[in-house]
Amino acid sequence: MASAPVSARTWEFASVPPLGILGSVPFLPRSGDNTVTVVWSQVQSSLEEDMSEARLMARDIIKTLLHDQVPQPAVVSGAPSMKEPVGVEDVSPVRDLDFMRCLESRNQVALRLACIGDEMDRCLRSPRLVQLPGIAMHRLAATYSQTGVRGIFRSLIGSLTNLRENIWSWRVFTPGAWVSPDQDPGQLFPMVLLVFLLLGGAWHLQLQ
Amino acid sequence: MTDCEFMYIHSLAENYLQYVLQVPAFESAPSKTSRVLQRVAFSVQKEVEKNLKPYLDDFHVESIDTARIIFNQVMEKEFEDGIINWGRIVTIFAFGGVLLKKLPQEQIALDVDTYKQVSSFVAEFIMNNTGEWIQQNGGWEDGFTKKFEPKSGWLTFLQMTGKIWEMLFLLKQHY
Repeated sequence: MASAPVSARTWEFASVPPLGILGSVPFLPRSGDNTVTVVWSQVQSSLEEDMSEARLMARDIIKTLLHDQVPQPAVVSGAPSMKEPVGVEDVSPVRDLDFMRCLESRNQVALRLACIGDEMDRCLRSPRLVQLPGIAMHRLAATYSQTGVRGIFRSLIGSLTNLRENIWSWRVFTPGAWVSPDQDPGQLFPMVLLVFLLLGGAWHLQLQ
Repeated sequence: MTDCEFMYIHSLAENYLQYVLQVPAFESAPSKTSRVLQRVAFSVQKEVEKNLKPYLDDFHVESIDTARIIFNQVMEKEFEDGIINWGRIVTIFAFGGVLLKKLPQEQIALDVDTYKQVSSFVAEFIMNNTGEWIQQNGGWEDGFTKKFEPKSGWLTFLQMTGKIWEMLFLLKQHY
């Protein structure tokens, strides 16, 4: 078995519709068939929703874990579906239908578990905040060795322009995400402290 | 893979299922890896139970044998694309916990070793299908725990400040 950062299973997951939407997808869209195309697009959009749901699920897990807020397990609740009597075993078409449904459910659970696992792994693979200064230093050294001091300044100006554009577009597209004046000042404290430390370091170097 | 490695995975699975059932551990306290795994896998299990309930309701887990069959079918399907990562390995434990909770309550109450039987087939699957990958990816301590252990915000901040200071002193030495 091989290891890969991104799974092709994501597409496979997307290609299997969940139960209750259309049951299964027995056809593919043909050109010129508007009804089929409309139905197919509905299936696609519901699948996209399901995929993003699994992604959100994995992200929620990561977020909870990183903030160390996992609740204790509840006492075993038992199996409600276990006690239901199975009185239709003699009817073979119903049994076949049940079997198919079970199989479909198992496949769905497997695909979603894979998707959750992949998403969780992808989230944890991204560089941590602690690694950022190291990465920045490495990039700086690489730029200096290739283009010299001028290259660094050019790169810095380019980055600042990009940053300004990104902040502008972010504000335009997410009007609800403005920082409210009553935001918790405790959240800003580490950043302010970091800026002071940097300024202090630079001042100290300047004096010597 | 050695017996020792199997025993290690088995103990991780057993500790996790004990945690799910809230069975008090009579042996020594669980290792750091075990504790990290419990937190991560239980979060996954909770989300899976909540969000995949319609599918899980179709699972009729009447006995340990049925649980084993369902577990192997689902896991084979999950790993049939050949991709292994730590996230997927965590889901194996979580799914073991899901199935344990779906076993009839009477069986769990009568047979205190039920969770041990579930942990056996969970460990067996992990060892047979992902054992080599785990070894190649740092093992449980260096690979899994380092990746999944929670990082304190202040610790991250202090580490980052330390790195910046280190950079400033390096710059000072050269210029």
